[in-house]
Amino acid sequence: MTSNKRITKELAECTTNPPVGITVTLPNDSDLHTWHVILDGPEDTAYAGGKFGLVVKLPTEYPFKAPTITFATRIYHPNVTNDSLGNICLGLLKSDKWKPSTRLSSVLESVRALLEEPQPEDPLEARIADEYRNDRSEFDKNAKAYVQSEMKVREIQMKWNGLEQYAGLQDQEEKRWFWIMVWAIGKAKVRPKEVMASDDEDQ
Amino acid sequence: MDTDDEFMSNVSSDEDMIQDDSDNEVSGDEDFGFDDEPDAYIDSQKDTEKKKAAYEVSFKVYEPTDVQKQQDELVNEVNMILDISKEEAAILLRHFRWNKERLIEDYMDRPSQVLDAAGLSQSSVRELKIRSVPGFACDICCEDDPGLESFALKCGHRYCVDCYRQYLSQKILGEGEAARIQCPSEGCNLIIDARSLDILVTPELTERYHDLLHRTYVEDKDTLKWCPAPDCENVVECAVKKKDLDRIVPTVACLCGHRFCFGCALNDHQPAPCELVKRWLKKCADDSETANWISANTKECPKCNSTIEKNGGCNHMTCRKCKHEFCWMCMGLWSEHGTSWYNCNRFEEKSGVEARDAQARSRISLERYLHYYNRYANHEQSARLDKDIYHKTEKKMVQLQKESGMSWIEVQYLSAASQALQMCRQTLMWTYAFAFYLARNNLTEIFEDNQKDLEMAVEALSEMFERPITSLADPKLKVEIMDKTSYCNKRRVILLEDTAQNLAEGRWTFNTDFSGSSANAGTSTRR
Ligand SMILES: [Zn+2]
Ligand SMILES: [Zn+2]
Ligand SMILES: [Zn+2]
Ligand SMILES: [Zn+2]
Ligand SMILES: [Zn+2]
Ligand SMILES: [Zn+2]
Repeated sequence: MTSNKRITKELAECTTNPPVGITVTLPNDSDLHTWHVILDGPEDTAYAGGKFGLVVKLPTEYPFKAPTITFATRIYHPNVTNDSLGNICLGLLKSDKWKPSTRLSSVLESVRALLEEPQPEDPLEARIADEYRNDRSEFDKNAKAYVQSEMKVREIQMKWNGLEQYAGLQDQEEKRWFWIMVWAIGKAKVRPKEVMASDDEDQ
Repeated sequence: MDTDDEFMSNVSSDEDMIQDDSDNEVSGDEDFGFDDEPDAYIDSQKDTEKKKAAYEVSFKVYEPTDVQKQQDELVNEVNMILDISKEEAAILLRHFRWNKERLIEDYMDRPSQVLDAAGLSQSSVRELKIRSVPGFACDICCEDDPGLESFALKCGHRYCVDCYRQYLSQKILGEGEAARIQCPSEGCNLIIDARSLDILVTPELTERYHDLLHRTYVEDKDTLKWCPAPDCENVVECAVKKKDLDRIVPTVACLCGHRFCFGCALNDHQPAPCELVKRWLKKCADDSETANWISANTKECPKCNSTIEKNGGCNHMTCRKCKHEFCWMCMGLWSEHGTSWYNCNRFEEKSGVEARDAQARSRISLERYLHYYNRYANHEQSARLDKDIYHKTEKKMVQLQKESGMSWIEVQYLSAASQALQMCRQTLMWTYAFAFYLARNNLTEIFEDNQKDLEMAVEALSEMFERPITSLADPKLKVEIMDKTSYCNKRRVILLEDTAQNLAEGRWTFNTDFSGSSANAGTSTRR
């Protein structure tokens, strides 16, 4: 595959000399086309202290086609869909703007810049954009509340970390326990589906 | 003297234009002086100019070769005036969306900014050639093999040949882009030129590229639209602007026979304006379940309850069993439909007495919608059925001709009748969508009278159409059909003319607001 050399090089750059507030990992060593990224909420914003998971998918045509980036962590933001898809609107990823010479590190930096400075003129969540424009303190409150609740999700996720390998479970009894725990997480007012969200979801 | 001359010539050409406007409203057609349009076009154009009715718009139809010729002429002109290559002229023209005057004016004022903005390089003396540069590493694929073949556009951004090829084929085949393919370097807006393209890609890809370029000419110009009929490659030119669409319904007819709205490219929907049509179609789609039963082909006879199937366009039903004659639309007595009592098209607004609670109100509003939807859908369906009958009749007529010795010309009246039925039903269909959104006042009454007259004429013609084949050969019926055909066409014109005039003068009152933010309506309701 022609793009492997480029991707390997970019990955090396991002892991050895990562951009500020960005941690890149490869969830599956044999698949260079899926990256997991942890984005630290920038200081002095409503997202400060939060950790946001991003899934970066590189199409087979990369770098001639743009990567797709989604938020795996729910975020309260005008330019990210407030649902389990976590779609993001980023100009430089649109097909008529994307250039094959653009590096992923600068794409990730512009995602982080979007947290520092939302673009309410070009929203995916019109209501949140309105709130951002007209009632900043309410917006900050909501965005912070989201960060708190997502941190709790992560905490629980850590606890049940071992269970993420559900696909690998053979034993019936083990599987039964797994679902009991999923149910318990649901009771804790968090969203088990997203807790378990992994890179096998295609969109 | 020079300037005076120029001034004078400007004045005279302006005067010409004003005169032009006053007698036929064709604007901008002095750009393309084609004298060799096919006859059919000239005829329709003459008709339009002669009547200049409020419901008609001026338009021209171009065949693909005409479109190419227009582009070539513009490119040649700019090439000569500005002394730049044809290709650069084409890139500049595309950047200015083919507005030649603005391009020339801007270019004269500040040539380097214009070239920059259009993505044209100003360092013209760079050699375009594939070669291998010692020590070169491609910034896209990160390959650095010695001897790696590379290429640089006029901007000097060098990448390996493979990367350029992949990039171009992704743009051309993957994204269908041609006119705005930029240099692959981040931040460089240089537009790829045809010479570099020829050096880099296969002839097939170049051909596709030129195809796409050809299409952008039409897509870039607001006054041009492709005929939406499948397999038709003609282009229609019309000067009606988007902002005028609340005042005019610009129906145009292609040489292929397809009649469509220049505003929204849907099939002809006169007299209803585009925005109303959009709203109506959305409502129909949203309420499709409630309204589904209506489009069913069978109903019960109101007298004996036996099942009646509708297989022609005509609404005059006769029960086979009990011979009861009734109207398919309202299920009322047919005998009341041929008289001044005819009231089938009108929805009787019930007085407020029973509409006190919300439930009753919503029931009435549903009934009201169904009344209009019913009739809208029925004309759509009937137009189809009428067409079926015509095709069957046509076949039988050929047979009849052989047997009776009638000439082909003599049965052309049936084709004319069928065409009139199609057109009138198309119009009637949209009168019901239109009426649904009308607020009630005396204009509405006139509209409904016109609608009623057209509908009665159409049903009468439709009925004649269903007569057995043998009686169609009767010369008396032939004359009757011809009379009815021209009467239908006349009623249609009266209705369209009246509606269009009121629309142009903004006299209709609608019960829904069509102006303004239809685009925002979607996002604000989505929460
Ligand atoms: Zn390369
Ligand atoms: Zn460049
Ligand atoms: Zn056509
Ligand atoms: Zn339209
Ligand atoms: Zn009956
Ligand atoms: Zn009726």
